[in-house]
Amino acid sequence: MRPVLGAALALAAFAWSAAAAAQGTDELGPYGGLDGRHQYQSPQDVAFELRFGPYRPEVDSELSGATPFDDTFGGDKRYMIGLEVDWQALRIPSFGSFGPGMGWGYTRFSGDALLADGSGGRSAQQTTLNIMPFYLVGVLRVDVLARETFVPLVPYAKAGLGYALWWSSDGDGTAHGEDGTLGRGSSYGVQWALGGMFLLDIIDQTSAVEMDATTGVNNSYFFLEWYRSQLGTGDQMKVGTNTWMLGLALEI
Amino acid sequence: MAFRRHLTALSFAACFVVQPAWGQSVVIHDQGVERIQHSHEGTKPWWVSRSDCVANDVFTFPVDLVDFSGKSLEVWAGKNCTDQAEREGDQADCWKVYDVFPQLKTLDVKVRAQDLVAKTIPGGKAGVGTEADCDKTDSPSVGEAVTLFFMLIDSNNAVAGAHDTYESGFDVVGPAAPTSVSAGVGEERLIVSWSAPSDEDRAGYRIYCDSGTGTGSAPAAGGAAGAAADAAADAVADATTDAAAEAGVGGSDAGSDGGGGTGGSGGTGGSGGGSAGNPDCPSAALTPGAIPQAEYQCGSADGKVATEGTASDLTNGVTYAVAVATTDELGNVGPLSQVACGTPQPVDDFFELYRRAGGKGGGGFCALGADPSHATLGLAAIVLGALLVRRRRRPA
Repeated sequence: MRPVLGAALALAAFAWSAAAAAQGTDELGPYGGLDGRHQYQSPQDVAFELRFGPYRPEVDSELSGATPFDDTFGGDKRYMIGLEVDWQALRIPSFGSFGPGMGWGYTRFSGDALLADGSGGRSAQQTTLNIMPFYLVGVLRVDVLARETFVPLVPYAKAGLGYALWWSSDGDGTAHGEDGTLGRGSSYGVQWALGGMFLLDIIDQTSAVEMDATTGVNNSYFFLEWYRSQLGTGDQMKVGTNTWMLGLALEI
Repeated sequence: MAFRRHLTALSFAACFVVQPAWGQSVVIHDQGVERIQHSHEGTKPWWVSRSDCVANDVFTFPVDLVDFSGKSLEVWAGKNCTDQAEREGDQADCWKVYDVFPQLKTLDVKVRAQDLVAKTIPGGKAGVGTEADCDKTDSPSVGEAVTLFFMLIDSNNAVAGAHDTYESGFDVVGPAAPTSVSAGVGEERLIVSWSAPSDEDRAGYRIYCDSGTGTGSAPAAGGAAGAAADAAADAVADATTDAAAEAGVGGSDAGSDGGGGTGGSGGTGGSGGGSAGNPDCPSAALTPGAIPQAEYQCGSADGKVATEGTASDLTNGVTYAVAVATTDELGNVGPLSQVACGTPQPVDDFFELYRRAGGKGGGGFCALGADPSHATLGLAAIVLGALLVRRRRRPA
C-alpha cells in the first residue's frame, strides 16, 4: 500500500508543479540556443525509448512450492520488447528534468504442454503465456553532467504504477482451468527503475548537431537500467519481474 | 464525268452486296462468359479442376459472327490452333472441343470441361470426353495452360477471317504427397508435422485420420515392396510418433513386422507390401499413394509452406492412423503420404497447472478481445502518433 501511495504522491507532485520556462523561439531565432558544449540545440521536451530485456514473471512466487511456470516453460530466457515516451515537462536548471512517462511492453512464453499422466513427459501440444505490461511513471533525469560537462552520462530514476494484461492458450485458443475459469486476466501494482544513459552524440558531434537541425532529435542515448515491477495483488496472477533493460533513447 | 459518277455509285452499292473476305470474324463477349461450377480464386479462375471435370462443368461463351455463311464455327484447344498443321496430321497439337454450322450471327458456344481434359488428338469433337478422362494421370501436376481458339473454318479447312481466343487450362492431378510425416500427442488431437513436397502449385494440406481396426494390408514378410509402395517405403522410414516415444510409452524400432511396443509406435512401418500403411495402426481407409476419401479428413493447414497442422476432434486413448495429402490452388487433392500413428492423451497446459497449484488469477479482462495484442498495438501506435503530431504542431 505504501509504495502505491508514494508513487501516487510523486505523480501528483508533478501535476501541481509549475512548468519550467519552455524553450522556444523569439525574433532572434530558437533560444533553446546553445548547450553546455556551445552547440546549437533545438527545443527539447520529449524522450522516446526502445526497450529490450529478459523477462521472467514471478508467477510461481504466489504458490506454495508449486512451480507451474517453471515446469511448463523451463528456465530458458525470454525477452520483452517495449516502448516508452517521457514528457520532460519540468526542467530543473543545472540539474535535469522531471516529468511523466508512459510505457508499453510485450513478452510471450511458449512450451509443449506436459502429459497429464504425471510422467513428466511432454506432449506436442503448445501452451503459451502472453504478458503485456503498461505503466505510468514519474521520470527524473539528471542530465547536468551531459549538458554542462564532458561526461556523457545521464543517470535517472523512474517510479509509478503498472498494469499488465496477460492471456494463456492451450494450443487451441484461450486456456481454461478445470473449473472453467478463463485463462486471461489483468494484474496491477507498482514499479520502479534505476538506470544510466550514455550520450551517443559524443561519438560524432557534428552529425549530432546536423541531426538536431534537420530532424529535431536533440540527443540519442544507449541506456541500461535495473527494472522492478510488482504486478499482481490479491487474487491476481503475479506477472511482475525483477530484471534489467537496455535500449536506445532519443530526446526530441 | 457521268462514267465516274456511275462507277462510284456501283462501288458503293457493291459494299452492301458483296462483303469482302476481311469482314468475316468471330467475337467473344468476354463479360458474358459463364460456367456451371464456380470460378476458382487466384490466378486460374477459368481452369478446370478434377472436381469440375467430374461434375461435367460446361463453359458458355456468347459469340457474335460476321459473314459466317458456308463456314463452320469451331473451337480448338491448344497453343497455336490457327495453324492448320497444328490441327491436322502427325504433328497436330490441338484438339477440337466444339463445332457447329451456325444459323444465326449470335449464339452461345458451349464447351464441356471433359472434352477439354480429354485432349483427344486427332479426332476430337464435342462430346468425346467422359468422366474417365478426369482421372488421367499423365498430365503434369501443375496442369496445362490452354488457349481456346474460336474460328470460322471454310471448306478447305482453313481459317476464314478474324478469330478470337480465350485463356483457360486444366489441372486434374493433385501435388505429390508430403514426406516425413509424424504425429505428436495432444489432448483430443494430434499435432501432425511433415516435410513439404516441391510442387510449385501446392496451396495447402489436408490431414486424414482413421481409428478403424480394419484389414489394412500387412507388410509382406521380408519387406518385398510393390511398385506403388516404393516411394512410400522410402519416406516411411521417417514416420514417428514423437511424444509417445518421449514419454517412454512403448515404441517399436524399425522392422518389417513393426512388432513390439505398447501404446504409441515409432520407427518404420509399411515397409514392403503393395498398399501397406503402418502395421502399428492398420487402416483400410488410408493407403499411401492413394487419393484419400474426404470423410476421413480431420484437419488441414493452409499455405504452401505449412509443415504442421492439427488433427482435431479425436478421442483420448484411441490410436489413429494419420496421413497427409497436398492440395493445389484448384482444390485438387494429391495422393496420401505414408501413415503415421498417434494416440491422443490428456495434457496439462500452463493455466491448468497454475490453477491446480492454487493460483487465483484469471477469469477475463475488460474492454479488449480474446487476444488483445493487435488491438493494443494499434492503440499504442495511435497514442505515440498523437504525441508526435502534438510535438510537430507546436509553434517554433
